[in-house]
Amino acid sequence: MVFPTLSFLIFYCVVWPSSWLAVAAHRHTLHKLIIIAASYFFYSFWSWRLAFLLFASVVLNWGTGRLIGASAGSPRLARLVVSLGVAINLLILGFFKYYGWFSEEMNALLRLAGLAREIPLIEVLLPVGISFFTFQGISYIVDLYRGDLDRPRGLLDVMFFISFFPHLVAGPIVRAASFLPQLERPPRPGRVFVGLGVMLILWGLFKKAVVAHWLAVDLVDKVFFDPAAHSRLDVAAAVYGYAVQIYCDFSAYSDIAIGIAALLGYRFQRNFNQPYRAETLADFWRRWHMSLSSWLRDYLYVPLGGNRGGPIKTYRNLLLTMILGGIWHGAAWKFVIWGALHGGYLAVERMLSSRPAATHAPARPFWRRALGILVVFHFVCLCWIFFRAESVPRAVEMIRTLVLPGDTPQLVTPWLASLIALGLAVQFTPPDLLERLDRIYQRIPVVIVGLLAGLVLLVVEAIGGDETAAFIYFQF
Amino acid sequence: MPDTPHKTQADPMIGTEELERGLRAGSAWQVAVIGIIAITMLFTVNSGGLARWTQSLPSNAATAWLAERAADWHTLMLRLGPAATYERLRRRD
Repeated sequence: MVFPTLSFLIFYCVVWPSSWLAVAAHRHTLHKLIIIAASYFFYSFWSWRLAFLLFASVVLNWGTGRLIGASAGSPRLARLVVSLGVAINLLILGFFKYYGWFSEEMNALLRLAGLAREIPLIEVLLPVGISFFTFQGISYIVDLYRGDLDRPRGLLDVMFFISFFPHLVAGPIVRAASFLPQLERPPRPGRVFVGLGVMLILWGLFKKAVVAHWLAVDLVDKVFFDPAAHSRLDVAAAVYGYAVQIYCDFSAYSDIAIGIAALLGYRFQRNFNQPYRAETLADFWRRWHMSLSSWLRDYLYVPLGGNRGGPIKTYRNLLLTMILGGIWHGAAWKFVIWGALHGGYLAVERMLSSRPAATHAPARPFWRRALGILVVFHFVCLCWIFFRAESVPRAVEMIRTLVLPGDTPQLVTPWLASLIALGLAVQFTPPDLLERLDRIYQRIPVVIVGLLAGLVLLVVEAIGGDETAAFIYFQF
Repeated sequence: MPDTPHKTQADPMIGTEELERGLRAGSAWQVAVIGIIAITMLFTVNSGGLARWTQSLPSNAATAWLAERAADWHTLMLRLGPAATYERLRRRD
């Protein structure tokens, strides 16, 4: 079940009133049980068998949390427990996500060395959302160990936190320390961010069903499937198109997730903040998939030593963090290259920005800021080629086609060009746009808002694709 | 990737206040009103979508009954006008 479908709309139309009726009846536990049951029903649409894996992950992290709580007087024991908990989480993730890749690569290596023995190949089904719910489980036990969370929570709360359907399969990666305190009291029916929720849902639907859909179907998929068959301009348009598509696809999921959680009375972190207006790559990572980049920073980069061990170790930590971030996306060399390119660039950027002249420089003039945005955007686009291409050779073929002389474009139409332009233009809208729109929303009668929302749904349905493809981040 | 000092105490508002800063909270009743109007409008004008969806459901007695009711609803909306206009607009692209 994906968000922009009638199935999800009907599912939500049942869950939303049920959960608020339980709140109105002062049945907080029933409210939680309704949300949990709905979340497992939502997840079972992909595979009911894998719902047991989700439950096992919840029990593992809940149990680890209890043990951390019980070992409060012994820091060494608590450290051992949290290490074991993190290791088991990563082992489960590693098995489902990387076993196939690992065995194939090892077998190739063994054959190269002339050894006849082979690691058995098993077809492992990748559970949807496993990277997200594993990271949230780790967040729970690490936050507890670090003291960011004051005490272990009951099974019901941990289950709610990890399985909550809006973020379950593609994020945002919600932090235990920011979400679990929200479960201590029932959500307040008189304090729902309605304008925020409605606007994010409608805008998310438009981005996914119209912008991301048509760019994928009419341009990106065709060019990435066979770059050599297309002109240089088509390939360039497909690269820009993919940059817009992945932004509109993934940020749409986050927007809808934040919106539907807001209408249920819960708050999530912001996940995207106009990433393509970043002037540096470090700034890009503060704006893109913020819940993952801050997770990697707090649970990987900082424990690795962060910038505390001098410049060389800082560069190493940046590179390692980004390579591991790349591998998190999938078991393939293209993701390793994608992560290494980002990590390398971040290291170089850090090296250059640590020069005293740069540190004490006054505010940068407009042309330098514009140049920074252009350079970072094009570097990110270059990295997206590896991210999107089927394989590394296909990515190299894309880049080669880009630099070879070519003929006239055949795929780029004014409609696709306007979708790319729109996807880039929204990066430069005022940062307080949501606040301004909310002020307008407050002045409009609720009935008119309902009519406008219905109109937007009809427009999206009319110009969106017939079959909405799964969100890109479902595969991670 | 930016460095931040290691947090030592719970901060339940991490990352949430930014989105909601300056926004005014409403009530769950507003959501209900907006939802009912928007969905009624959707199923009235796009009754064809509803009919197609019911036909795609796994086949059993309940879904067959549902598909039949949705088809009747779509026929009525076509006759009354909104669905016919919408279908014409959709076909234009």
